[in-house]
Parts: sequence; C-alpha cells; structure tokens
Amino acid sequence: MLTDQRKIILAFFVLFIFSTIFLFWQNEQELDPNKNKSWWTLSFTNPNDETDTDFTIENYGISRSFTYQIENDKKILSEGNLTLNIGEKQTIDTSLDQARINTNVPLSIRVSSGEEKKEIYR
Amino acid sequence: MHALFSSLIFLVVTGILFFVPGFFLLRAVFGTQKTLSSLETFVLSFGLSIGLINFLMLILGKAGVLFTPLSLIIGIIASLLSVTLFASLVRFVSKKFFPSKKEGLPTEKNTFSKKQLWLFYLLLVLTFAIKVIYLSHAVLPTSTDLGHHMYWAKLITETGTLPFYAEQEIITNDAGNYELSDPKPIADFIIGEHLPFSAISIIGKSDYFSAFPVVFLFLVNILSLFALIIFTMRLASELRIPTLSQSLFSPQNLALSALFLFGPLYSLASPQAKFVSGGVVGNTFGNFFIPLILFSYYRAFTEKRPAYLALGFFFTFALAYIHHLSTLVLLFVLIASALLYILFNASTVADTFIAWWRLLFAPAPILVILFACTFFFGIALPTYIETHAVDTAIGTPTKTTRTGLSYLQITFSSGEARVALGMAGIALLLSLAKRKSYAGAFLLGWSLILLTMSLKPGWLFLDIPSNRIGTYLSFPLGVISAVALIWIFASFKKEEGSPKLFPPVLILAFFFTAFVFASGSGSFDNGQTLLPKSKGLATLQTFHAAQYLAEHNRPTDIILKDHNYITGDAWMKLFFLRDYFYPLSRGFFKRYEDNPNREQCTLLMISTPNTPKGEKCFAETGTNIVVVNPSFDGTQFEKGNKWMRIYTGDTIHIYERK
Repeated sequence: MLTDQRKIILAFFVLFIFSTIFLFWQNEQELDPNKNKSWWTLSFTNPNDETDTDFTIENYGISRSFTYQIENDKKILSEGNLTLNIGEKQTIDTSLDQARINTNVPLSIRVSSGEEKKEIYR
Repeated sequence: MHALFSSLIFLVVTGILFFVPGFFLLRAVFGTQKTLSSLETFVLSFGLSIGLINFLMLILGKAGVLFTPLSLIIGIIASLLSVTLFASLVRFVSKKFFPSKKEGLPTEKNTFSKKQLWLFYLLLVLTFAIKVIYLSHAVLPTSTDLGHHMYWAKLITETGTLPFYAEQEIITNDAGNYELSDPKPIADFIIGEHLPFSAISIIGKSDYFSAFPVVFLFLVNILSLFALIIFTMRLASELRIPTLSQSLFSPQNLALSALFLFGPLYSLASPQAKFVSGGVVGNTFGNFFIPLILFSYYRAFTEKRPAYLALGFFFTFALAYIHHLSTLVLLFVLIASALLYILFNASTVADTFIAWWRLLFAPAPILVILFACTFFFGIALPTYIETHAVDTAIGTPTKTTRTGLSYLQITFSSGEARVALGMAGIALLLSLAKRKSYAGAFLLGWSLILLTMSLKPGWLFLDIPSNRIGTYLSFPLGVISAVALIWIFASFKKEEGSPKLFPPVLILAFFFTAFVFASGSGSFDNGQTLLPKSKGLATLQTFHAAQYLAEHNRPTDIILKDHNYITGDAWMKLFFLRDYFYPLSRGFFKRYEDNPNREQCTLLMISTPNTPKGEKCFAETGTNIVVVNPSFDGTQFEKGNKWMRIYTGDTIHIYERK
C-alpha cells in the first residue's frame, strides 16, 4: 500500500515523464528543417578556394524547381535548371573556363525558385 | 520516434545519476531510521546526487582520469561503496561514543486526507501544465545564457577533461594596435553548474541541441518547489499557535498553501520557468539548494541531530561549487538567522551556544568539514575564489543598477499576492512569541536580510546587480505567505466544540477574496511572460549557417557574428568549440554606449566595416568572415569590392573578406 507522500512522488514522476517526452518531441519538431517550414540556402561548395565556383543548394521549401545563372562582367557564363525535393541538397559543378572570367569584377551566382531569388558572389 | 528514444534515455540516465546515488547515501547516513519522510528522501536524494557527481567529476578530472561512461559509472559505484562503508563506521562510532537521546525520532505523520491529496494533485498538474506550455515555445536552443553555459558543458563532454575557464578578447597593445589576446581567466562560470549536464551527455550521449538542457533545468526548478514544500511542512510544529485551529494549521495544509503560491501562481516569471528557458543555470540550482540547506539546518537545530548538520554542511559546500551569488546569499541568510535567534533568545544565549557546540562537535559534521577543507585546499578551489571575483561583489555599490530596488519593483518581481501576504506574515511573526523559535529565526532571517539586500544593498556593502538579488526574495516571502495564509484561515475556526469566531459568510468572503487576489495576480504575471511565437525557422537557419562555417573552418579564420539580430547566435560557438569568444560577437548596442572603455572593434566591423576604423579592426584582429542578418546589416557589405558573399539564407548572410 502506497503512502500519501509516495503517491505524490509517483504523480510527480508520471507528470515529469510525460512532460519530458512532450518537450523532446516539440524540440525535434522545431528543429526538423522540413517540418512546417519553407526555406532554402545557397552557398559556395568550397568557400576556402576563391577560384572554385561550384555551389550548393539545399532545399527545405515547398517549391522544387530552381533555375540558376552564373554571371561575370555582365556576361552569362552558364545557366541551368534543376529539381530538388524537400530535404535534398545538390552541388552544381560549374566547370567554368577560367580564361573567360574577368577576375577584376565579381562572379555572381543567382538562383531563383518561385518568387524567391538568392545570390552569392566572389 | 527518435524524440521518444532520446527522452527515455535521458530519463533513465537522470534517474541513475541524480536520484540513485543520493538515495543510497541517505540510507548510508541515516540507516533504517525513519526520520525522513518519503518526500524528504526524494528531494534530498536529488541534491545529494548533484553534489556527489560534481565532487566525483572534480576528483577524476584533477586526477587526470578522462570522463567516459565507464569511468563515471565505476567512479559512482566506487564512491558510493566507500561512502557507505565509511558512513556505517561513523554511525557505529557515533552510537557508541556520542549517544543521542533524539536517535530514532520518528518522522511526523504526514497523512493527507483524500480531499487534500486530490487538491495536491490538481495543483501539481496545473503547475506542470503551465510550465510545460510555456517551455514548449522555449525549448529550442536559442537562449543566450544557456548557449554560454552549454558551450562549457559540451567542451567537458568532448574533451573528457575539466575546462579552463578563459576567453580571448580584443585588446589594444602597446603600439596602439588591436589584437586578440591570449585566453584570460573568466569568473562568470563555475564548474558545478556544468558538470551535471556533461555527465548526462557523456553517459546518455544526449545532444546539447535537444531538449535535455531545458528539461534538466525544469526538473531542478520543479524540485525546488518540492524543497520549499518539505521545508514549509517541517515548520508546522514550531509555528502552531495553540489558540488557532490545530486541524487547519497542519503540515498538509502548509504544503498545499506553499504549492498554491509557488506552483500555478507566478510559475513563469523569474525565477521560475523564465529562468529555465533563459538558461539561468546557477540561480536555478541555487533556488533548489537554498531551501534544502535551510531545511537541513532547521532540522539539525530543532531536533539536535548532528547528521542533519552534516547534511547542511555538505549541501552548502556543494552549492559553493555551483553558484557564487547563491552561496553569498545563503551566507547572509544564515548569519542573519543566527543573529536573530540570539537576539530573540538573549536571556539564554549561553545555553544556545552550548547546544550549538554539542551539535557541531560530533563525528558526522566534523568529517564533512574535514572533507570540505581537504577538497577545497587539496583538490579544487571554486573558480570565483581563484579569480578573486568575490572582491567585485563586496563594496559600496558602483552603478545605479546596484543601489537597490524600489518597493514597487520588489512587488513586481516577487508577485503582489506573495509580497502582501509575506509582509503580513513578517509583521505577525515579529509580534508573536514564535519569533523566538528556530522556525521564526530562519523565516525572519531569510526574508529580512533579502529585503535589505534588495532595497538597501549599500547597508551591507554589497556591489551586486539588485535585480539579481531581488529574484531570491520571492522564496522567503512565498514561504511566509504560505504560513500566513494558513494562520489566517486557522484563526477563523476554533477547535471543535468551541463557538465560531466569525460568521461563515465572512469566512467565505475572505477565502474568496484571498483566492481571487492571489490567483488574479499570479495568473496575470503568467500571462505577461508567455512567449508570442516560435523562433524555430530563424534558429534553424542560424544553426545551418554555423554548421556550414564549422565544416569549412580553417585555423586562421576569425569569424564575427551579430548578437542583436541573429536568433540563437550564442549557440554558434558550440559548433566550433575553439574558444568561448569564438566567433567574436557584436554585442547589444547599449553595452558599447554604457561602457566607452569597451573595445569597439566588434561594433565597428559590422556597423561601419568600410570606414578607416573598421578597416583597421579587420586588419589587426585578422577577422575575415562576418555573419549578419541581411534585413538589418547586409547593405554595408555589398558596397565596394572587398567582400564575397559565400552563403545566403533568408535570415543569414555570410561574407568573406577578400
């Protein structure tokens, strides 16, 4: 037979266990990039190499179609389309001819998806 | 599914680390004597376990043993076995050479009636519900303070060693150039507030970005409520007034009153759930240990039992390695309580000193003192002693934020109902002969010294931010309120058979008014504290950017990020674990305005990067990467040809200097 105080301790444990499970679950939901959120990022694949123009798109958004343009000195050096599912990450190997790049002006990579546009440059 | 698994692992590890060792230690110290109630055993086990784990990890760390799951578990088992053996020996010696008349004093019967038990459940469920709803919006790792603390905890986990609390800073050298200094010791952190988190993460492999830091603090917070309850329940026998209803002024009703005032009411504002979500780790531990320590000393003095004095010493010593401010507050409370007791019992002062001396001169307290001295001088000093931080807390207040709070501010921080009832309780207690009891001395000492520290810190030569002291006041005021509430209720009812003092309508009207006032004030306070919306998306993007930087981090890279507009930025340093000051941070603007002597480079490098001063800062500190929120700070990096934008998200841009 449980004493009153032990019943209180038991109640505490039950409440604490449920609270813990709920808070862990809530934290996981909040930190899940695909859960009820829509965003994507654009970055240089190798930021430490200034001559490397490969870039990476990570998609956690609703839109799956992406178009990109690589521009330097008002010239389009490369462009293309790609499809990325939610949670997918893709690296685009640009393989640009270095001779065509004017290093005195920035080389820009512009990516658009739906209404959103993002740009990185170096 | 992953969350369920992680939470279950966390629960098991927390149980093994923070309840089992303390439980066995209590058994070793008190044997089979039924002097502790189940609730007391439960709460004391947690406090003892925290102390044990901290001391064990300090000993292992100083001995050069790496923290691994195996070393910790073997350490716990070995220390428990040795302490149990030693405690049994001490008990044997104590019984033989220091027989105590009070030995085996049965614990007070604390049987709740069915109604009381259901009311307790109801209040407990409400307390949990309010706190958990609030924390569900705050369980994301975004809080700045928690980020700072978890940096050290993660560093301990990753390196398996004790950390050296130091950080780099931007200084101006003799030539007038800026540079990053070598790491310098910092006094803001204390090892004991980080080791419990590290222990959980080492054994349970818990992720610091999961809910575990917040949930563990939540556990400490809820158990501080239980510490207050067990202390309040023990006060009943000394504070009972013979002319009042004996059946109403019971430990059970005191427990309910304390739970009502500390549980559902004011359960979010500081120092409650807000401290949990805000990662105010030291204070949260302090608020658990202070009532526990007072409980131990109270029982030691009233029951003349050295074992409780030893327990009190152990908890005090454990707190000294967890939080400096709480330790300082506790020392003031203990001194004030002792002085008040002597003052109120001036005619029997010689007897009092003899009784205290006998209590102290017993094997258990002396052994704890010896252990404390050996540990303190031979193994590890608290970091704030090493860095002379105490000197900065004592003296004439130097800033307006340290010259005391107004009465209105105290009412706001401690809660109207608790302040009103607490003040009434203090006045009542001072006017009654009960002030001469230990219960009276502890309650008055606790509340009056904290009132003085909060209102007039200059009188005590304290140079500490007054709002930080003010958060400690809600506890003694709440306990006195709980007692006062039951006193008032008990005064309405005489013992059975006697005529009623007041008509039932008046009693009902008072109950209703008190309930509405307390509930209204307490729940309004809760409503003010609730968070408006989740910061999930912004936090996630911050962490994504930090992960990107960490993956490509070179030893020569010096990163600067903004603290004003980036959510959860304090947690970025957990991705690098390079230095507490890494990445460098542009702090709140006010801090640069308030302190002109503060280094300005972190401000200039983001706010005006292209000015000569900004350029000089970049060149001399070697900063080459800047992380900002483009909605506020992107434009200045778009100008000119000096910056590359290497990463872009909705709320984060990363720029690299060419």
